[in-house]
Amino acid sequence: MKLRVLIVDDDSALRSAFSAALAAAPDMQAVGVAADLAEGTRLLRATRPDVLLVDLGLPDGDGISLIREAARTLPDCDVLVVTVFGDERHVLASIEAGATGYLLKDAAATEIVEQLRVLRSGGSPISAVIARQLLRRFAAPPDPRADAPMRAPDPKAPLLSPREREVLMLCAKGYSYEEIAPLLDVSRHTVTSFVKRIYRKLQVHSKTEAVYEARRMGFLDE
Amino acid sequence: MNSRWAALALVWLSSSSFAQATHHLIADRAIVPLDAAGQGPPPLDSARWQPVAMPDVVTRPVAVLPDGPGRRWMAWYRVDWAGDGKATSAAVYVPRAIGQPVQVWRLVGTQWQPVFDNEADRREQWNRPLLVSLPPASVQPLTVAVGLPFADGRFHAMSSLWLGPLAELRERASWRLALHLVLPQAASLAMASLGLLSFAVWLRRRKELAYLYFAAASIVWPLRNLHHFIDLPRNPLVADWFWWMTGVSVSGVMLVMYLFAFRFDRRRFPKTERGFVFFVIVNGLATLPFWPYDSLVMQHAANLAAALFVTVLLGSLAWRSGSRELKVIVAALVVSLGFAVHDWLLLTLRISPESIYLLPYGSMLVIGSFLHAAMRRFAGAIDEVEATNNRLADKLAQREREIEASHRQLRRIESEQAVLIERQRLMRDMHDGVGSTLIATLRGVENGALSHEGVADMLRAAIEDLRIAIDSLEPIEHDLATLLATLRTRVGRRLDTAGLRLLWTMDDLPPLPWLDATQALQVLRLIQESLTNVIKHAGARTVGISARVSGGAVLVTINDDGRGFDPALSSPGRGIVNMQHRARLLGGRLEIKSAADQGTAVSLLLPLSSAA
Repeated sequence: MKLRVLIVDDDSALRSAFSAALAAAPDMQAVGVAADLAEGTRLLRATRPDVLLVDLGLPDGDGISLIREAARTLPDCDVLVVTVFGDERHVLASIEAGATGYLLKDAAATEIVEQLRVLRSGGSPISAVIARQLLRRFAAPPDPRADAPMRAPDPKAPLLSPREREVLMLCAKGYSYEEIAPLLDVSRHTVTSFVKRIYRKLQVHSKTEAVYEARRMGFLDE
Repeated sequence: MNSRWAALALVWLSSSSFAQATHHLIADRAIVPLDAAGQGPPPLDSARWQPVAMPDVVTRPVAVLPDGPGRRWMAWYRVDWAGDGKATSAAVYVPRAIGQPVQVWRLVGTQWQPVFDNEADRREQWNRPLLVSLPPASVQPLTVAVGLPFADGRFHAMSSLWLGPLAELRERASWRLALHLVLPQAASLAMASLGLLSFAVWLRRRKELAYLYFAAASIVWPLRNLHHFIDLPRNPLVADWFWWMTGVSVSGVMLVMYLFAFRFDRRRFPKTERGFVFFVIVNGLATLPFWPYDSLVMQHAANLAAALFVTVLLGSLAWRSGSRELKVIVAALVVSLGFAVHDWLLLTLRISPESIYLLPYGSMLVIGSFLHAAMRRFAGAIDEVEATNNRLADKLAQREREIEASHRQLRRIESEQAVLIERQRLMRDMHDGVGSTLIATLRGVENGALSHEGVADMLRAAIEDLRIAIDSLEPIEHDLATLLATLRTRVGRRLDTAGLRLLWTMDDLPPLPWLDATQALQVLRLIQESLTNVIKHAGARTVGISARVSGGAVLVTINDDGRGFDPALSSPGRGIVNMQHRARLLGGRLEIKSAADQGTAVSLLLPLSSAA
């Protein structure tokens, strides 16, 4: 069965390049192409794709909301954020919303297909800057003010395992998956799956944080 | 109804303890000559006694010239008391007797017997009510004679007489004693302490003369009142001088009172003030004890005239433009002047001797009015200080707002400046990097000198330049390893394409506080240049990038296994000069080691802290 991919991007050149790359791959298929958020949302509900390729800056809204919807309604769907280079902050926000990978806009067509395959097999890319940001997010409490009351550790807020932390540290220092694997005595695939798992944890982590914050501010009952 | 209430009140009054004694407004008087020993008992012959209205007074003339020792007489006043039917200790009570020492005799059977002689307290007799208790044997019915010795033609006065139970009359006497003596004494002491307080204030605030005059007034007034309540000196000479002091102190009191009032109103009347000082001196001199005449009455009359003059002056001041405080003072002075007239009349026995000397109470009024004035001024000063403080606080708040505003403006200018510097930095970088690459590409395309592949290479280079510029803005949190990692991502594909294997060795590095966006771009460009040299010129198979802490610095090394060069033979190219310039801007140092066929090692030493 072919991998069913939905493309949501307002750049027509990019849409056609992606479509062409998918058409050339024997194991993939574009089930929909949308240029804005409304159409993207409609197609997401109609086609229920395996992979969502989404740009953040859509003309009628933020791609983040589409990522959130995909994460909520299609838990098996992988979300790949299409980004211009140097947009690490938005990538982090996308991962928090539920994305498990990101793709540079100037990536070669063959790279796109390769990245999709890796992602589908459980691996996620990560940059050093994102790794560093993630380390900080998992280390620091959500409210760093000194006078904030001490918070009992929330059992639902996931923590990084020592292994995952080690992977993130090495990533932050610029080591590639290939270099990390022998250092940790695991396979490259294991490393990438670590990263994907970390992404999932960040998603839950930020949800727990949001719930905690909402409770603290009185938006939610205990 | 009213009459019934009145009858009830009468019953209540008559049942009270004040109903038993007899108040004699009429007494039988007998005047007998005194013998050489000063004795002249009351006569037994009833024809000698004549009824007379009490008080019985011979007025004091304004000026008395002594006419030598004339004959001396005793005026006897006889009164009876039927008794109250109970065995009560009885007493005779004389509110005031002016003259020589009073004697009290009683009739026992048909004989007069002496009971009391006031010789010991003759000096204070003028202002002390007399209460003489009678021996228990003499009770009910009772006949008593009160004798007042006097010299031929000299003034004297006997008030009305009370005869009755001791307890009742003792209460009457003690009330009168309080009014004659105790209240003036207490008030005088209070005044003196106020005066000390005011004096202490003046010591701290010498310019406020009103406080000094207030102090003087409240200390001199008690001196003036002294004779009302102390036991007078036994020594006749000292007594004479004491009385002189009392007389002079009145004019002294007046002087300081008027000075206080003038100064309080912030006025000076040099002529009047000098005139008054002159008056006080003349008054003092004219009444010195060794003058052969009794000047007391005249002295008081002169004081009254002077007081009237200044009080009228002050009154007109207060009336025309004075403050409320001055008006209160003048009112107190006017009342006191009335009291002084009253006391002069009492002194000269032109009114009933049973009246009370009022000037001590006038002094309380005047000092009270001064106190009122001083307190008002004091409170006014405090109010003013508070108002000033408030104004200052307002001013301060305004200044703070101004400073805050200028601070904001400064911050705005600073941030504009920062944006400007950032823009210049990026523009320079774009101009040198992406810009020149794009222009070269364009020229190549226009000339047809560039192949398809060549154009793609140059555009890739331009995009890489652009990416690196943007990477320098990433949140790397002063971490050099993460910064170098972004470079790895950017040039990784180019290294792959060139067939170069990358050896990546990053130790744990401490955060570098100086590593901001500007410095980050310098580091990135420096390493990029170095790697470009390796790709273009080294012909290497492997390139290593490493970073570690070494001897108080961070050491970044780019080494290759390429053909190398002999530094002695070749002058450094523009690329290397550029790199060295960047290293200096970073506060670091660049070392290049190479030898023919030995590869090249570029070492960049960077400081750990910004101070280096």
